[in-house]
Amino acid sequence: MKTPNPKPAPAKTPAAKIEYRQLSTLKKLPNNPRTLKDDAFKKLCASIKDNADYFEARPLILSDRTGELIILAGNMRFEAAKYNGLKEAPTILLRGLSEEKEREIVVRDNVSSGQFDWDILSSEAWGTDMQLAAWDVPLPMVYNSEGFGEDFTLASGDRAPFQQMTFTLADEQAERIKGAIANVRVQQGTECGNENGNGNKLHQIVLEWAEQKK
Amino acid sequence: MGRAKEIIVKVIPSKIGNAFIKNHHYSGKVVNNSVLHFGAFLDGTLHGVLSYGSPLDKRKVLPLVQPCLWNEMLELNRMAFDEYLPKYSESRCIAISIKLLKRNAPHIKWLISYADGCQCGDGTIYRASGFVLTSVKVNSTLGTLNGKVVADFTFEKGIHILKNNGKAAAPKEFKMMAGFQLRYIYLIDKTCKITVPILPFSKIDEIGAGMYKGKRITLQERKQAIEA
Repeated sequence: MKTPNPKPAPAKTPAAKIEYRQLSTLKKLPNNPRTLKDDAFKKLCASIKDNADYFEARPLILSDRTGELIILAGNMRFEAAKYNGLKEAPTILLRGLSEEKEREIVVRDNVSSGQFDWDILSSEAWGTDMQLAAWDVPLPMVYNSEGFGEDFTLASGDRAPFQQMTFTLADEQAERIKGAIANVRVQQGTECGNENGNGNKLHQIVLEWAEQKK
Repeated sequence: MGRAKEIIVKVIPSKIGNAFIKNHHYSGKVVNNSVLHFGAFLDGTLHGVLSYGSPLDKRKVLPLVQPCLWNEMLELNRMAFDEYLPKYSESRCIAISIKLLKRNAPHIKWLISYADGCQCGDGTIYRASGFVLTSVKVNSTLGTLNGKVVADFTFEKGIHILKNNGKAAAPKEFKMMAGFQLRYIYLIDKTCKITVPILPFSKIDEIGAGMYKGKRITLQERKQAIEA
């Protein structure tokens, strides 16, 4: 009996390589479901600045399905790299992806699997609770007193003689006020030591209003 | 004082302090302008947190004690302890935190704190820690909305105002809670003067503001219970 020919093994796609690409050639993912709050974004910027090697080990993942280089994974790192003044970033281009596969990569990249072994993590080799907290490790509610101290500093003296005021305006009102601020000229000697241009202009408008009321 | 003497108080990062407060404070909420968090450790492990910061209405609060510059007072705005800590732990921790304030921030002249006589207590711990009572007033800030406790000033914040045509007001469904708010002051610098009358603690029963662990009970009834 003739044995059928075995199916040929599928050809392996060559492993995608890390390539540094100009940030200006990359496009952020439209409708990205991930967001990052301000303080977390600042931390990411600092992390990328301080750990360039780690950035290379976790490159941005790109797709060229639409003809543009769209970032599937690493949109926040892309923003942070731009914020840090970088011109290029490590990337991996995945070719021939379907739209569905792209969506899967986007979501999978942000799902955290695995968990910390707290016994190992709390050993001295991994640093103090203070260090781990600074690295955004979601520590459990058990902290030992080692690594914490009794010293701190607090601001002293009187407050600075400046203050910020916040108002709520309708869009139309806001535009009118912006227009007035843009057109008013600050009279020298009315600044009261304030170096904030818009503050001085708003004050000038009030001065002129008060003059008219006389 | 027993085991409370063994408590160690250390400065902890706000991230840890706030996480602990969210888990253990009856309100489940942190105060965002806290600047200093102390951790209470017993047997080497964290079991309590005290957080200090500027009062939200600092301009109104500053004149309560004179002389006092802008950065010379703090509000003890949250205390959260777990069940592991023994009796007297709270006053012990307050005492140590004041000692650390004297050492590290000698410019801090006084402390303010509020007891929530709507949901928690009338300030037993503050009285035990040497604070004086300077105000007992009917609650005018804490209320409930959709089953959650919120402070009315929440509605004066940006997102609520923008949703409300610019109006900084609580929605109709917001219901003020019944109860009292008690204001306590502690002078670290004894040369400073409290500018408002100091009230006798008996005022709490007079007004009917007594509360302990969320239950309405007079100071007198508590005293009698202890004696019995």
